[in-house]
Amino acid sequence: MTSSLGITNYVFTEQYDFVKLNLFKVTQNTHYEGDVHEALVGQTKITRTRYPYYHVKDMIEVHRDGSRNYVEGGSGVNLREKNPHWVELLSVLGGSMNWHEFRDFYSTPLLIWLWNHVGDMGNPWSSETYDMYLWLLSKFIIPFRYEGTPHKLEVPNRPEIEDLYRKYLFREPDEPGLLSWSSAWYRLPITKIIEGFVNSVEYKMRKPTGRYVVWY
Amino acid sequence: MLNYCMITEGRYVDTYLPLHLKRANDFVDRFVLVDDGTFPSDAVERLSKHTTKPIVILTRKWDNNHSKQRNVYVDYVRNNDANGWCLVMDSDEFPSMALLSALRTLTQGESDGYETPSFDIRIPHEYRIDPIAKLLFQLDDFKEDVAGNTSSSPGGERVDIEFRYNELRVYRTI
Repeated sequence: MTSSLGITNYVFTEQYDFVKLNLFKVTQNTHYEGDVHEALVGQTKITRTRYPYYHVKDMIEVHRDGSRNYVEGGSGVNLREKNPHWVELLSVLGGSMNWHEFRDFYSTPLLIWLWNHVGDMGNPWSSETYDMYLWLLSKFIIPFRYEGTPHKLEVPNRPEIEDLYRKYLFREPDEPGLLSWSSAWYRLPITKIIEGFVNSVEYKMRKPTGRYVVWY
Repeated sequence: MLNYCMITEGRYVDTYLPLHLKRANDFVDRFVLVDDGTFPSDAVERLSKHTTKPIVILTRKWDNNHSKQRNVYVDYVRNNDANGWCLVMDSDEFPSMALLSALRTLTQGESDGYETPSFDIRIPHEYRIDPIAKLLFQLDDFKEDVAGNTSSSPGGERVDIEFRYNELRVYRTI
């Protein structure tokens, strides 16, 4: 019965521009190089296939991975010292720290570092700074909220929020609404988010009859 | 010899790894798992329940170096197989049935390496990956999902799948 179903939404995205060399013959020259961003070398003839693999991503895991890349490699593709904020973070962390230690690390200097840099925009490390904020927010008590206007790429759950707007309000989100629901996404279960849409005046005024079935 | 290779952790022994073993069982010859030092002592026993193929567990303590960790399975295959191939997946990555079905053909081709595209499935945080992955992959194959079929999970929970416009929707009975 439709009314007894709970909705769970999964965005299933094709990423043809991202491929992995994950099927290979092991020759005498085959080996991986690089530390954080490793690459397989030694193959002589590589072909791109159309056969995909599935990558199951929890949104918080996405933020965690971004944070990990920041801590271990300075964000981006091993930016390290090219990212002055990473150098500062390294100092906060006592000169060196690996990810396994960092994920249990919580200190006032780290919060101050986060406070200073969470709104960073336009740099190759900006998006992963925001990942760090969201990941720490899911893990620890952060005594402040970032209320700025993130760069478009820095609303990582934008596709999900846009999808809810299209599905329930039949329009694209306005920027304040996008940011508000983006923030709520991390605090509330999806059923509460959907309730918020369904109970809105706008939804009730625009709810179609006969042409659509809304599952919730 | 076709090896299914992973670098992985102890927390996946009862979550993701059974899904990998079941899914690839009929398509590969061996599983080669590089443990970061956190596997439980009875990992082989627990994992063997999910596959009929040999499982090799190689332990290397994680030291923040992905290449060295991955070279463990490369070296193992090089030293044990004259004509060894690796299909490499991370713990949260799963080969499509299309990829698994094509493995034998691909490994007999002229290339010595194949790149495969990623399809991302992004899930809300409150639905943890473990039950979601179980839910999705116990349905066995996306081909049923794409056809818009209705299936039931082994737990008896009714699950309706809808695939429209590149979006996969799963409706779960509360």
